[in-house]
Parts: sequence; C-alpha cells; structure tokens
Amino acid sequence: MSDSWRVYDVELHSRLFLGTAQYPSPTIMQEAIEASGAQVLTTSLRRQSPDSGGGQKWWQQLRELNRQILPNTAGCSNAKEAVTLANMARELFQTNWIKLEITGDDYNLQPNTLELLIATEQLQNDGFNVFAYTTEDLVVCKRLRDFGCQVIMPWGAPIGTGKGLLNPYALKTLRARMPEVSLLVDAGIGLPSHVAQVMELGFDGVLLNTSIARSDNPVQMATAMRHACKAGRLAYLSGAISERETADASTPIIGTPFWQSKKK
Amino acid sequence: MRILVNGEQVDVDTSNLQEILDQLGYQPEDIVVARNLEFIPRVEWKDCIIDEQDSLDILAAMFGG
Repeated sequence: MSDSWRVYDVELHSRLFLGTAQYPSPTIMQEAIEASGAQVLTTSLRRQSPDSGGGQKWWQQLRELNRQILPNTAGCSNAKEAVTLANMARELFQTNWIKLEITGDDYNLQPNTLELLIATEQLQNDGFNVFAYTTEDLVVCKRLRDFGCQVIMPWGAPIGTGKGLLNPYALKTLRARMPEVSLLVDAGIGLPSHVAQVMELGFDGVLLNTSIARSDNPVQMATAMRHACKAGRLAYLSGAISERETADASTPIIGTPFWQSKKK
Repeated sequence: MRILVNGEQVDVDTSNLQEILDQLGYQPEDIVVARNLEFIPRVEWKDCIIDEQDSLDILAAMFGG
C-alpha cells in the first residue's frame, strides 16, 4: 500500500525522521539509517577549527547516502541566534528546510515558544521552510501555523529522556484541531511502542535520535522503530475500536453450550 | 589586529575577511561565517572588512538530532 506524503515541496515515503548524533561509529549510523528507511536526516552546525577535518569526512559520508537534510538550530537560546544560524545552515547545506529549535530552559531543554514564534515569522518571510520544535501548547501551534509553518513538531517528553508521550491528551487535541498541518513528535521517544502510539494518534511522523543511537544495537532498534511506525500508521488508517467500560464477548452468545446449568 | 575567532583571541594582520580565513587555514567550501552574530554570505567575504575586537563564528557541518 502506498502511503506517501508531501513535506513542503518534497514527496516522502517514510514517516520516520532520524537524527545523526550519538552513534557508536559512522558505519553504524549509516547502517541504522538504511535499516530505519528514513529519508530525512537532521544535522547541526558547530564551531570548527581549521585543523579539525574529521567533521568534513563525516559530512561527506552522509551526503553519499543521498537523503534530505534537515539542519537544526540546536543550542540557540533566542530568535536572533536562531535566525542567524538558519541562514548559515541554508548556505552550508543548500536547503531551505530548517528545524527551528530554541532552548528556553537548560534543565529540561524545553523549547522557548516565545522566541520560536518570533523566529518562525521571520524565517517563513525569508523563504525558509520551518519545522518548528515546540511544546504541545495548542495556541502556540496555531500561531505557528498562521505564520505559514506547515510542519509542527511538539515534544513527546524532554530530549533524550525516553519517557514516551507525557501528554497524549494534548497531542490528540493538536491532531483534532489542526488536521491541515503535518504533525511529528520530536524528542522523548524511547521505545517502538512510543512510536506506534504517536502514529496511532494520527500524527504524520516521528523524529528520533537517542532511542536508536544509544541503544545496545542501533541497527536492530532502527528496524524495530521502522516496523512500529508502519504498524501505528496502519492502525490509524484502519480505524481503531472505541474503548468500553464493560466486557463484550467476542464469541457469539447464541448456541453457548451448557448455559442451562450456569448459576444466575 | 586582535579579533575573536570562535570565542578565542586571535591576532591577524589583515582586516579582509577572505584573507583572514585563508591565513587561519580554513577550506572555504567547508565553512560558513557570522560576524558579531550577523551571517556573512560567502560571496561577500572578499569585500567584508573586519574591525578590531569583532567576533567571528566559523561553523561547519556536524551531526545533530
């Protein structure tokens, strides 16, 4: 079954986005990317000394995979920094895509949604395609959409915690209130069951990094995440049953054996 | 002239950004540059004049989440 979707001007067949950090080696990263089926990979920019050529080797390897690159603005703490970094990313990675990430608290790395709104408006006006990393705040997400942001990525839990979805109710509300926007959960995923849960809620995709890269077997975990994403998506499209408070026998009642002898 | 390069004090003997990058040994195709938090596109490097105590951020591609 074909289940492709458009993200800005790009058609994708995979609904997993993958980070490229924290893998035990570049080779394992490459194998994990292949196993996940991910077509979109996140990258960053960091200060570089002239003699540290190792990073460029890594970037060359990544380019050879021929995936869509989604640079991030990780480490920025205000809109000004994020806009500058986005412009630098556009020149370096040759893409208008930017994962806009502005940290508001150093302890739980919660997105600074106030600065995010300022930066999103400016970058959308400057021709960027913003992927906004935010909290599950409905009003903030609606404003991001009003600025022309087509991809909104609320956190499931703080980055790297692996806690899964801390507020499924709010995520479900986002899906219901903004059916026209592509929604991905970014951050907080630990298990394939978390990925399946995201997709069962009707989200368009999931962005992962730590849960794969820091598992004992990243390639195998990438495979598990790929299957979970597919399973959750198929379940959503299939229309799950509603929860009930009382039991409802699945085996037909008519013709039940020995019913006369059962105590009332 | 003393400037800041990626947070470190550096002495350079030219004020031209392109020449500074050449002196420091950077490969131009691998990097992007901001001066005092303002992005300087690559096409502007040869005409960009850096002032004493300006702060350059010289960035390259890195893995990220």
